[in-house]
Amino acid sequence: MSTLVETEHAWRALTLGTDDDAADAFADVDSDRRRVYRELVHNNLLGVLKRACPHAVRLAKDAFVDVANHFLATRPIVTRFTRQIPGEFTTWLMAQPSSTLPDAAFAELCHFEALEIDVLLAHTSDRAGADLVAGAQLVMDNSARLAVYRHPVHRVTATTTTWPTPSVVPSVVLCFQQAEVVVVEALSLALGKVLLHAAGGRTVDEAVAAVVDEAAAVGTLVEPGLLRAQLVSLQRRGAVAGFGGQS
Amino acid sequence: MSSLSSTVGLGFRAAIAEALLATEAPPLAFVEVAPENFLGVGGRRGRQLAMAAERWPVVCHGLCGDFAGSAVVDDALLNDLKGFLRRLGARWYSDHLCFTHIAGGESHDLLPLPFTQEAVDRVARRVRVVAERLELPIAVENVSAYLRTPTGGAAAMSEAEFINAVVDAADCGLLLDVNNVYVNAVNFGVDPVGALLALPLERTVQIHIAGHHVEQRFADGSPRLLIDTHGAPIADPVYDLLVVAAEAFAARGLPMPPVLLERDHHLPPLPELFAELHRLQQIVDARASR
Repeated sequence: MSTLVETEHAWRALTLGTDDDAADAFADVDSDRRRVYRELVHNNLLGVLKRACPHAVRLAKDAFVDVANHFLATRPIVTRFTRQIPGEFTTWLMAQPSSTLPDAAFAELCHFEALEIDVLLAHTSDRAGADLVAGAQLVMDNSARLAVYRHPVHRVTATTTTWPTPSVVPSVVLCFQQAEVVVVEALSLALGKVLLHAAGGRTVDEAVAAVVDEAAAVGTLVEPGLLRAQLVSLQRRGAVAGFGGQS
Repeated sequence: MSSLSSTVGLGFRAAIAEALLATEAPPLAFVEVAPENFLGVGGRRGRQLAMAAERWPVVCHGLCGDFAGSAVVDDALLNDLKGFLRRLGARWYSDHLCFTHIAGGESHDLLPLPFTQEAVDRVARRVRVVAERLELPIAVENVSAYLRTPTGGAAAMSEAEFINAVVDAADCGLLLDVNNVYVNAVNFGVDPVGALLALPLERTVQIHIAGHHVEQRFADGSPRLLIDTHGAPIADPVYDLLVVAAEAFAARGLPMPPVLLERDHHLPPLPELFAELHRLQQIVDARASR
């Protein structure tokens, strides 16, 4: 192994505390100078996560830092883009047992807060075809993100003081950018399923029919005209770029 | 560089972007952006960059180019970067002479290299590859440091010897960070003027200048340690060192490179930044009138 490779390992051990033996390469360096780098690297990354997840920080208090520290010490940051670090954090969080997190809603709340950043910085799409005609494909706006949460984390605000409790029905949340601002909308389960089916390649007609059939199978009535009207409404507000690929 | 010689510019940061774009005649000739903060970004930030690019030349300075790390060259990222630089009409591309990628992960910080021949060789190889892929000249920036990275027993060069060796081997430019020269001189107890004049000034394509933080808590014999924060006004000794640099460029018959004020944290109201830009421009102009 080259000296440079060993030095990289030593730097990682020194700054993120992953391997004390590797950090021994810096043993002859004054401890205050080593501390400066530990604080710079660690505090910079921790600061990115804290700024991205202000509600989770406020509700979890010190426990947020404990979880973030565990993440930074065990999971290397892959992205070179600071804005994507919260996404890596939440992907890691979603894979952790909820018993190891400050609350059962913690991972979902962090995910939602990171999602809002992702939407805010996304490009919006050029508008696609305007008419929802037979055989049309749904074209979501490039900024639109759909998420399903067991806890209504999208309702957490700066004044919320308790963790959200799980809902009987999952929250289907659509985030998109409108006039450079993030819009958050809770959708019906049926409309959310239509978007998922359409994202999977089905036409709007097929997606709506599938959802109507699924609902009927469990004795629920879903009005296809209402779903289509809701899609048109989403298009008008920018979440849907348009309807293309008519056959 | 010629069109920007003897000018001053400002780092284009989200916190000041809207106010800067709304200012009728700010005292700057160019802005600088970090591609990592704008590449693939739309929304307000993307719109602000587009507006800035219509108004000023945009210089691009990377944060995570990883000229020294062991990460595989990311061809897709370089292609995206190339397109980004072309759209902005970049004449060169710069990044830091340090580790950013460490052992499989990104540090998102600037970690000093050991001043060894192995590091020279690795950086030179990587810089040449990046220059070829981007089809642009590359400049490397001297970074601030708070410790000397151990060499693992290999022979160590001085910082100036190391930087000279890198730019020669890579045949690249230097982004001269005057604040970093001063910070390192204080942190390692050397003469800042001597440290500056030992650098390959003839390869300088751009100058950075910024403020630093004075860390007082040290007990290793250092009277103090300076931290390059980009979060404070430029210190007077750093202005003085810029004057030395300007005189050195003049004495060697070199054009005065464009000077970029970096301010990333604790951003003051724009008039305070403009006052710093005015003072920088005065230094540049005084050199030009000599």
